[in-house]
Amino acid sequence: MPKWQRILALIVHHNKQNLIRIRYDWGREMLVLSSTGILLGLFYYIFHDFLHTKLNDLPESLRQGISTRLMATVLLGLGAWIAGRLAQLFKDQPGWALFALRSGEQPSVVDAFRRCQALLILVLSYGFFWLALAPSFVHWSLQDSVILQSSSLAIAALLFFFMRKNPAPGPSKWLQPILNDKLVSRAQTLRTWRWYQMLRRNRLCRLCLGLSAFVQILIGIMHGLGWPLFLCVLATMLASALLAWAVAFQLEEDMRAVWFERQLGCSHEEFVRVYQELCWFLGLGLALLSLALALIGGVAAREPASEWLKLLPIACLFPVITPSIMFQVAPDRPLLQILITSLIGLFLGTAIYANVLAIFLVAVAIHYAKTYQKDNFYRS
Amino acid sequence: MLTLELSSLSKNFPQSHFQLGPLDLNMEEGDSLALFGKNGSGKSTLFHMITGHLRPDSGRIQVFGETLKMDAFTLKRRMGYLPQNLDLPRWVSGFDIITYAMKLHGMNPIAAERQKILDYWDCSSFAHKPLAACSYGMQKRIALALASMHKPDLLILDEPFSGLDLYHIRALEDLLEQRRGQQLTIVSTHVAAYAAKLSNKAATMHGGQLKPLLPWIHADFMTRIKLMEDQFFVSGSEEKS
Repeated sequence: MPKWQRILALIVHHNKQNLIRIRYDWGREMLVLSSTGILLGLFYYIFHDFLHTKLNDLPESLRQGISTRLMATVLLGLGAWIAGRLAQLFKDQPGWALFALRSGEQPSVVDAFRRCQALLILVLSYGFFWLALAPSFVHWSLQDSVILQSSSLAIAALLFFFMRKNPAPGPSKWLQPILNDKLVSRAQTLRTWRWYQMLRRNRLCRLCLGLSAFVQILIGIMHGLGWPLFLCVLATMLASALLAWAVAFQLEEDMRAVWFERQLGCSHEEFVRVYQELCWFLGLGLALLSLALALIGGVAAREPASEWLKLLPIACLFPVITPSIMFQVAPDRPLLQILITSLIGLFLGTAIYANVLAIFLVAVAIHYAKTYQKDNFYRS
Repeated sequence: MLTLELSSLSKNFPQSHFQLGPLDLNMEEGDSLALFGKNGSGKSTLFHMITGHLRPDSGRIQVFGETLKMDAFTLKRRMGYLPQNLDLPRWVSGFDIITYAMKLHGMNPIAAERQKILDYWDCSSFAHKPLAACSYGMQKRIALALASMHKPDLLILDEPFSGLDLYHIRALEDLLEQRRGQQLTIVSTHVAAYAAKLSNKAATMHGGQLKPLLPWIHADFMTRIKLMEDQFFVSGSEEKS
């Protein structure tokens, strides 16, 4: 077989594996796709007028500034995401490239495959951004576009340089014990086990928790600068969502070894209750921080209490709804979990902002969701 | 009474065109059952059902006289299970996970017992290493420690000998010998010699069907190995034809 055909075959097989995964999990993918569509459609139908009014209240220059900065952040973030994908491709991890090398394929062919696949990732990612995403939100000059695109590529190259190295063989660092030897209740043990993993071991969790704190500090600055409450509400939703994402990453870690905890006699109720306590702790913590920053930033003097106090339920919303929906679709897949939590949180958060009585809707949603996922711990 | 009874147990997997059962099995106090069969014959699926990880479509599982349901968590605490795929948490150490399991089992005093367990399975040298950085054999020893630490009444081991060196196979054999008669044991293995040595009952799984090897009980070591191989290859060729 000529070289180019072997390279092409590697590219096709590499990309086909994603399609095979989707086909294997067809039912669940369709469920997520359809529920996402329904939720987004409902969201648009219910809140279109409300959001439109709120957006129109913002000065034109501010709106432009926000959308430009948001899209620039997305473009730079895309660079970081691409770096991760490329690093995976170029690392000697199990996959088509390594399999081909071990099966006696010429290194030059595998190298060419990696370069072509990298090019494909770059073209598809940036193509999607510039052709589908950017035109709807921003109109950058050519010079700005070139600068931003170059910055995104620079971030991708820099991160790729650090991420592509294979981990050094040999013993990795010694871990300090996370539990003490004192015999405590089962609930306390289950809670401490997760809490310490989130804070000390799970890097993605720590990243999300750190980002949430960072966004909350930004909100404090926004309060200080007297930015409209609507924008602070949106930023609070983001900070709250980041907490829920941290929980989703820990849940994924737990689901990897779910057999082990089931075998230790964990019940569905016990497991969900532990997450409930963790999530309430995170949510209330963020709400308190939000309250403190709003008071320091003088929001209370500018806005009526009935408006700015909505920040508090919105701050704890995302983590608080997480335990009720974590066993609905795929607890072992954090990205799906993040998508579902974010959509439901966005829906309920906007409802609370529109009318504070929507808090009761949250309570009803939590109750029904909990009932619906009953005993799914044993089936996941 | 430490008994296990499966009656007309079945599970259908339409996507992969596989039907497990209907199958029946009776184990009495102190029994040790060796289970063998081709890859994909349904051994691990059967274990998933007995341990309450998978709900059967029909039939009944009675463990120690109680009907097993998926939420029967007090029953599950009396079982020890070593799965074939060792999916353990990645970013905790063997020391952590053993402490965690001991606390959930209510074992005390923790420090002394933990040291005994770590020493028995020869895990002390890597006890503080992240499990993700441990070799398969190391992870297996941690998983064996988890399955056996609380002296379970029903111990289910899915291919326990794979990945272990001879020294640790001997440790496992000793453990099963020590606990002989005090627990129910089910071991799935492809190593005829260990099955012949450690079990008083045997059965084969082929195409989702369980066939007991009745002459096993009275047979000697060599006859058991021959019985197992004969049964394995006869059923295999029947399946092919």
